[in-house]
Amino acid sequence: MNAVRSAAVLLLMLAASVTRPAIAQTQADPTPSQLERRGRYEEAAVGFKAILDAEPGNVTALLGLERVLVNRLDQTAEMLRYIARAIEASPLHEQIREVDFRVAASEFGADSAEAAFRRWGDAMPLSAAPYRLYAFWLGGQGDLEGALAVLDRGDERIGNARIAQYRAQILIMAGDWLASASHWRRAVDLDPAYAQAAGSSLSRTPVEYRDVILQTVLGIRPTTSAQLLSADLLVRWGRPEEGWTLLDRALPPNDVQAAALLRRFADRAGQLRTLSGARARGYALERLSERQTGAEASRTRVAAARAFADAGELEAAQRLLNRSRTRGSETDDAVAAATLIRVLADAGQLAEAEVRFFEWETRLRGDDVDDLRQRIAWGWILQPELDRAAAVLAKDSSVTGQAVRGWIALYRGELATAKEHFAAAGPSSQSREEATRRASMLVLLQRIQAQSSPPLGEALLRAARGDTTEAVEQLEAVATTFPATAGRAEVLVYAGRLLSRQSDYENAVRVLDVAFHADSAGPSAPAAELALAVALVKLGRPQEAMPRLEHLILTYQESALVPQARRLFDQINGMIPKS
Amino acid sequence: MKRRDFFGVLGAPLLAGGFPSRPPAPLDRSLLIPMDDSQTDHLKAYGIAYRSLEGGSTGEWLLNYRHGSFLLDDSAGIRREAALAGVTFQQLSGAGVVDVRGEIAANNMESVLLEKAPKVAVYAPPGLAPWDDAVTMALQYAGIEYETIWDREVVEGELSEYEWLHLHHEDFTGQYSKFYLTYRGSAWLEQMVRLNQGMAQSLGFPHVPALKKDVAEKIRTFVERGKFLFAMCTATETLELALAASDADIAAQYSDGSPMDPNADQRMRWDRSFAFQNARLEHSPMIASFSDIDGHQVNNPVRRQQLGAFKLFNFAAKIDPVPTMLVQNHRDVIPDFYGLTTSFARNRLKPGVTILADEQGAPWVKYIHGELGEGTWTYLGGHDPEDPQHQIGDPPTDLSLHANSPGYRLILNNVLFPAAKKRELKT
Repeated sequence: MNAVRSAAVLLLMLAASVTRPAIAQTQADPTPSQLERRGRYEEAAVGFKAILDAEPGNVTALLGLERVLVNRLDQTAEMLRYIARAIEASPLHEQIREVDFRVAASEFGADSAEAAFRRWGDAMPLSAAPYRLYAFWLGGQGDLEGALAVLDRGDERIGNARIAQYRAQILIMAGDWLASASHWRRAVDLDPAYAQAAGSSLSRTPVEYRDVILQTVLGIRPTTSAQLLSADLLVRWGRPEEGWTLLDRALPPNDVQAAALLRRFADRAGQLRTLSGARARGYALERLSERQTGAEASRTRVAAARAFADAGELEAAQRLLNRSRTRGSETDDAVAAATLIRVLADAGQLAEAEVRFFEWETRLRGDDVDDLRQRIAWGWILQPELDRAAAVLAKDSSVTGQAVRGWIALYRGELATAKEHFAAAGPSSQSREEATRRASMLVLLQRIQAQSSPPLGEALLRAARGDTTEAVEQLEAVATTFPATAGRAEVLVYAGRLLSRQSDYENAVRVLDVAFHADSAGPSAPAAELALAVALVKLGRPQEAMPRLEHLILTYQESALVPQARRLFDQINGMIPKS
Repeated sequence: MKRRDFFGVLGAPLLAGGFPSRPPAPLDRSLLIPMDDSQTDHLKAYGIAYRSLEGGSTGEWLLNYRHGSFLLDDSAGIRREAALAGVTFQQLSGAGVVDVRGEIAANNMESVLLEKAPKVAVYAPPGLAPWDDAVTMALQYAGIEYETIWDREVVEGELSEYEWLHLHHEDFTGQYSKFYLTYRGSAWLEQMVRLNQGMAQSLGFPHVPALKKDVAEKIRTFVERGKFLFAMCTATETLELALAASDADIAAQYSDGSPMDPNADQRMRWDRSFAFQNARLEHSPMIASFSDIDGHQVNNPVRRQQLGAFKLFNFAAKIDPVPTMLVQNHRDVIPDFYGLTTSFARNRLKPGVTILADEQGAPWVKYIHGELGEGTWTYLGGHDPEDPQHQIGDPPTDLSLHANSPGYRLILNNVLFPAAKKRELKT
């Protein structure tokens, strides 16, 4: 998409530049570029020529004329005089020389290419561009040896980092990753500004060559540039912690340069979305914060702490946040405090999180207050300390707070109260996933006529805490206390899904089959049958799943689960790829 | 192409023979599968129609009636299958069918008898997943059976066993889609090279380009003898180049050991090709483009064009049933999609080629059709109608998420088109 966007931008730029006042055009007249786009090449050529007659050195028009005459109308000879006049007008313009070279090479072959290359080199002896174009043209013809010979000549005459870069690129074309790496190393040693290009080019190294490439880049005596390049490659290859070790050793004393390197590394490591990436991001941001002062340093420390928290490094996160709170502005302090409370709650240190929360409650951002309060409450729920969870929520009047209260009521077995809270929370508060979870539970509860059922609450709480085996046993037992058409089937479907989530498909099939037969005309039947089919597929028994799916699709045609059933049906039949 | 030109190509046999309307059905119940926006799964609807033919029934394709609906004999089996597939259908009484026929008679519509499900072959190397090719994806999704054949089957004469052949992104110039230099070292490319070279060697050809030229010639003969060819993506352009290059070396050194003939353009024999003429070849082996037949040049940075949308032509159903069948759709304008060959330059089309869809105002067309000998060919540019930017390694398209895809309908029109019965030629 980027390429397409860039092309669009380029086209717009071309269109804009050829309508400059050099040649007056009425607003209604299409520009030569527009004519070209419409396939009216003859007319476009006339337009481009008119611009060049008035302004022989107009590069945009010259490029347009090249596209039309050479690529579309096969009138290359026509092009030559316009090129000659353009060179005369601007003898040192590289783009004009490029057109001269391209036309000579593509239309008149190797001898003309060599001649154009020489003309260009004579006019601009210190330019590396002719070597690039000629070498890449030869490479494009499959003559990689010829391409390298041209670059030898460039080395003799100029010998700079650019030539080393071109050589490295040609060598990649030849599949010689090793040689390419050594030339990239030379390019970055000569000019560290090539590190980005080198990293980008070598990032495509096939996996099996990567370690050797690394050794080649680093060499026996690793230079700073080589270490920085290696660090960049490692993070691009998904090995961020190894990359961090190299980067940390090679960081330049200059704070501005070091900051740029650290930020780039941290961004790339974060994009990996792995624990290792998050950890390396944390290291880089912490180091960056040490080179900063005041609020900037505090913000970076908070970002580092978040990265460490993402990596599960809670001690490191806390250490940084404790430092942040003593050095930043009030806003930064509040952000740091919120992060610290989040880290503590996620780490199960609820008492400390609660103390800090109430200490900071009035100074935190509104969104943070609700989020942290509910996070701590959920922490207590899972301990399970339901009263303490309810106490944390005492001052919470938010809609999302209602939802959490609903879960607390449910786990206490107060089914009617839970329904009220869930209904009050509505179908769309919190994340979509959480809203779906809540809506599913509300549907289950609405089938149960009992006002309360502490055993059901206890079983569901066990399930929430991850004690699936015990939870399922309890759910199966409590299900028998409900009538078949008033909650039993739903509770069993819930139990069957829990088993599936734990990959205990054998038991899931058993429970779901009972659930289905408990109320095959009830609203939970399609859900039971679909979950059953999924479990059968997971057990490698798709042929048993097929009649279940067929039955579901044909019997419950209005069910919202039919599209999912049909999708699974198609996957089993090989009609669509497995997702 | 204008309609009167189309008569020049297809007019004689069609005017003489054409496609028969079905004799009036007895007043029993029929099943109408509408193909307008009320249809919940357009693609599987083709599968229902195809499988009903396969089961020995006949059916009708109601061209332009509710965007190309199908009228099938009603049976519990078809209804069950349609319900399972999520295909919308309506049961029509005899009187309802009479109403439909009345509407068809009074409008630019036609009823074409579908008689026999064609035997379908897809030309693809072994091991290719169905998801690598838009047509196999569509066939798989619609539940239409097909067989996969490749060079050995073609060279050994097995093509004659099939009525319909599909080609997708095979490079008939034998240059591995010209990815050889830019993707050197990639495992998939190395496998492709090994596979092709092994096949050429085992069939006694000196190199892959020679093998592919032979395959191209046999495909040409297949069409000439009255069969149906449907090609997409780069198979369209490279098949043409391979046919026209009977006297020229158009393959790069890496594929046949000798560089491309610098005068290859002058040696091309365009009288051998189906659709194109006077194309200029791309001589650089580094650019994954073959000639200027493709209007979009997706892999040629200097000439790459942006995607627009293409418009299907509206043909007269009673006079031009063949192109009408090929453009049946519930959308007239369809977003374009890239392929190694995305579109076809207008100025490279041979006279007599029927343009089925084009981008208005652009120098390229998207969808073309023509005859050779007793058979027909159809070309659709682009790789995957629902993955416009398709890149190597992209995840496969899941057609259950595009069950109403107008682009995929064009593909399935082609699969069903050979099922239409031609009337006996009148004398």
